[in-house]
Amino acid sequence: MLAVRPRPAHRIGALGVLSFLVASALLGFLAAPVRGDAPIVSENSNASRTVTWTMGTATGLTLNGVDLEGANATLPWVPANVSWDTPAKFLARGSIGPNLVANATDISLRADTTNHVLDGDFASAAPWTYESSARGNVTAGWDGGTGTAVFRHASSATEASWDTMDGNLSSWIGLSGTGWTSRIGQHEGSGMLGLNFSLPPGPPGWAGVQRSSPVNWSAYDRMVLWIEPTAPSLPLSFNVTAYVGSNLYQTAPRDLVAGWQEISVDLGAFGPVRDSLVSLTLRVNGDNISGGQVFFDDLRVGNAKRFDEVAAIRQAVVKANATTPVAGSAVLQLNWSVPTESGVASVQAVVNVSGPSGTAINRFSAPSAPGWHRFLADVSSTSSLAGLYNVSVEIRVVADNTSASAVEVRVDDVSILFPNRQNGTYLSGAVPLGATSEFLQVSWTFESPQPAVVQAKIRSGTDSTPGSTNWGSWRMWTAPGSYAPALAAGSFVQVQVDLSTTNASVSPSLRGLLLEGRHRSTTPGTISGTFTLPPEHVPAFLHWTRLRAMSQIPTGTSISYSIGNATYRRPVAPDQNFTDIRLKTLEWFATLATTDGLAAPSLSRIDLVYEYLGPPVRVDVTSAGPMYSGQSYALNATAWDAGDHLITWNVDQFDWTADGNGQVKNGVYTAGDPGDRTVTATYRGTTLTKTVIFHVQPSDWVYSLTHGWAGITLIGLGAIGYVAYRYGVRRLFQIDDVFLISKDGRLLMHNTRRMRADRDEDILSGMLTAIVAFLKDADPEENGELKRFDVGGKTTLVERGPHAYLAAIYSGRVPRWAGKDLKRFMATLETNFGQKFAQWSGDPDDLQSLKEFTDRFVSNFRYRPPRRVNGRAA
Amino acid sequence: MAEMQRIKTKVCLVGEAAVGKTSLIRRFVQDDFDDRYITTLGAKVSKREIVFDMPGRKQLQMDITVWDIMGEKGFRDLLKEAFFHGAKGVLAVADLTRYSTLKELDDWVQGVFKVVGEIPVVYAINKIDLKDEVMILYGDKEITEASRAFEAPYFYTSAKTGENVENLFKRLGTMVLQREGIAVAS
Repeated sequence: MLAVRPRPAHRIGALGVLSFLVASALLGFLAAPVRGDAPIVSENSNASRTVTWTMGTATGLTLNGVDLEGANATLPWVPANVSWDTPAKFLARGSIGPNLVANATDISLRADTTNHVLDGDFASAAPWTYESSARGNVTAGWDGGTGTAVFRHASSATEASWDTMDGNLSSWIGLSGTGWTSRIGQHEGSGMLGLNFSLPPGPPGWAGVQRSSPVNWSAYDRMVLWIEPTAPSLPLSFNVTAYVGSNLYQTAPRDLVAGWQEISVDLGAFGPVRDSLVSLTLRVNGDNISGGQVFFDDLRVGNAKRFDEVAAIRQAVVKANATTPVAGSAVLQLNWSVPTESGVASVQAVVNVSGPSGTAINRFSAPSAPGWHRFLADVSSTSSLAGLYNVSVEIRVVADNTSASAVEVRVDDVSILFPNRQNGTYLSGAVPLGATSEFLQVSWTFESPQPAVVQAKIRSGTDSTPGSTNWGSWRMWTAPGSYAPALAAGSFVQVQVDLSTTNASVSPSLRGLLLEGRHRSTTPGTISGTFTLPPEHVPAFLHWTRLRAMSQIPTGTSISYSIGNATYRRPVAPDQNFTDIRLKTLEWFATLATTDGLAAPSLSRIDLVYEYLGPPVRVDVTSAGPMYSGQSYALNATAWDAGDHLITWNVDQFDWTADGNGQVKNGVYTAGDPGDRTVTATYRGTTLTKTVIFHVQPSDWVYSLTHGWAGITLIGLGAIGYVAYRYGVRRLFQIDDVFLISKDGRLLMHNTRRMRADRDEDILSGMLTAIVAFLKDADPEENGELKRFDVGGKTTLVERGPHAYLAAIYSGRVPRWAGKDLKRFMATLETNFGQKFAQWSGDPDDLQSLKEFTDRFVSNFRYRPPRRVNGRAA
Repeated sequence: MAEMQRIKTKVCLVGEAAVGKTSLIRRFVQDDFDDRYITTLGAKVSKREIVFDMPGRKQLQMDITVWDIMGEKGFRDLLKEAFFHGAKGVLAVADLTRYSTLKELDDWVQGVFKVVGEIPVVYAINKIDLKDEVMILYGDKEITEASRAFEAPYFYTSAKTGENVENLFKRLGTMVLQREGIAVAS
């Protein structure tokens, strides 16, 4: 089996140099980072260059899912938020208990919305009963036209005019003032009674108009008149005085307001007998009034209508379930309006709910503003038990007057609701966050009006089974707002919200949750950079050799690398040596990945190293011993650069010197005198030399010749043989074939004495080339170059030129000068065709002129080079 | 009669041992020497002549000397200079039943390139006749990936049936000529 030829002479040295270079490269790599972020090319000492990318900025880098942080490329943080701002989002991740309801904007405690009052909107008369008041002054009925319950009262006046005060001034006497009749601005009729008066400062006094004759009002209990004080008469009050017998009676003063006002006076103040009221005086009371004025008009007397009656509508309500008596558990409400109310003392509504839990009576007065008004009453305490409840709405009308009266009250939308809210809980499942995340803030949006309570809770875990040992404890908040969550990192969270209330009418409402977290992107990110060799570096470029990376790779993270170009990419490991990447433009890719959301790999630097053929730095010369004086030995000479790259092994590119009568020609050393001999090779064009010492021993035949008869005999036989050869044998040979073969084995020209059909010269040339190459490379220390071989009575001589070689096949004994002739012929061919040989395309027509040269060689016994004319072959 | 032009060229047949290199060409080349030369000498030269049609009723005969290189890497490193020198094309052969032989072609082709520079390459994925008999561990994706770096077309070939062997030589010859600037009908 063949083996790779060793190079012992320089192995140790090369290892030393290599170690130094590796150490230098490592020191350079671990030194302070290179400034700047575009790739920087730095020269190494071993015929290589390092292209460096740092990660300070994105210049010169392509980032895809990778961020630069603090001069490192790493995976970016990505949000891991739980953002639920609608009930639908809560429900998408969890469920609510039966006591909760998800509305459009919130989640709250579910209320029972059943109206236990039947036909509360009075769409029909039933099942209500309508009860008018006992005396019939107030009626209750159903108005199908408006769908309401309607209560009414209507009565005519019971009064009669007693003095119109239009002009009978003589019936009245002004006291502490002057009475007069005015016919401008009266309230009724054609005139009115005026009183001009002044009241001094000090204790209140009065002024008035007094009836000039006794009055019999025994048939009446009420006097009514209109009165109008004019400014600046206020403040004033009004009352009536009269003597009954010797006793002066007076009614309670009534404060006056500006403008006309009707005042009803209860004549009962004058006692039960009123058939002779003397000095009946209409008084105004006040003090410190100068220039006061008051007018009276249309005095009437009559008997007051007096009643206080109630009409009602009723319905029996069935309550199937008991509820809590706490306020809010039962609410009664209705709408009512009072479109007409005149001539009555008051209108009042009374709502009564009575049943097994008791009776609730709620009263409310007629509203002053027109339109519908809502009445709402909490009847929780009196309607908690299940059973039959009577619900009634009563309208109470109170009258005490003599004028005409009219009342209309309408009732609608009567309801009793038992909201019956119970505590409820929202509970989510394990909400995945995509990766282990850290939590930054939680913001709750909910409302908890008293006495409602919200308990919002979150816990985190690292598996999808809430409550397992990989889950933390709950964190709880009872007020809305933003908080630091203080949750352990996790890849899942669970949310629970407890809503509770002690008032069945009051519910908390849950509106939103925002849990802000983050984790490192678990989508692999890529960072890459491209480098194109500058044109001046291309010629010497050999190959890319290594990718180095400065990185941090925590557990659970990874960085993988590849190199290539737009169409080709191959994975590489950092510091892995490779020699087969020769792309002039090379792109590297680093793929960062993590399975742990809290850990990310970081890459701070990438080095790509390529080797190039540098200038020669050393020369090696080898050969193999033992050497004998006068013998020839092939030498191997090589030139190397600092990266241990072979620059040349062509011995012709070296200048040789040898001592002790030795000589080196074409890389072949002919040993000189015995002893330690030096041979020096100088790489041409440089000062690089290599001197080796060969131990040259005396030649074997010299030793034989000088140590016995055998040598003398051999010399004699040699002389005889030489003579025989010179004059006989040399004429017994001839050239059969000449092959001119290119260095790569293609046949340039073949000239033969006879054609043979059983062989192909192209194949033969190739095989011959293979054999010659094999022999040269397989073991040159033993054989040197193949110059001659004998097979089957044929002798083949081989002669090499710089661009081709000749193989001549002889029959018979081949004289020694045949080789010299062949050498001369080869020199002639190289002189005339060397360049053509080097650039031959393979087209035989390009070498047609060779034929005459080979003919000359084959046809002549001895070869004589053609005569040269001006340095060129003739 | 069409005018005939001739050109001599050299191509190398590379690939791991036992991928079928020698078998692949045995029936398709002029073969003067015994196959044992490969194991003793490291290479054997055979010859293939292909005629191409050229524009203008011309023809070109390409005399291809095929250098069948021993499939041992150590041998390649030792004699690559001599054997690969002057090659104009590479026939890279892999065994369909052994994925490693495909991957090794990268080194083989790079070895040739290192000596002669970048030249046309054609991949031959041999032993396609076994595709139904043994488990095939790689296919178009891997082959494309392996050959893409050299812009090399590939053929599934069979030394046993001769499938695609003609096409293989024809394609390589065409690529060699194109590289020389000679247009032929493919």
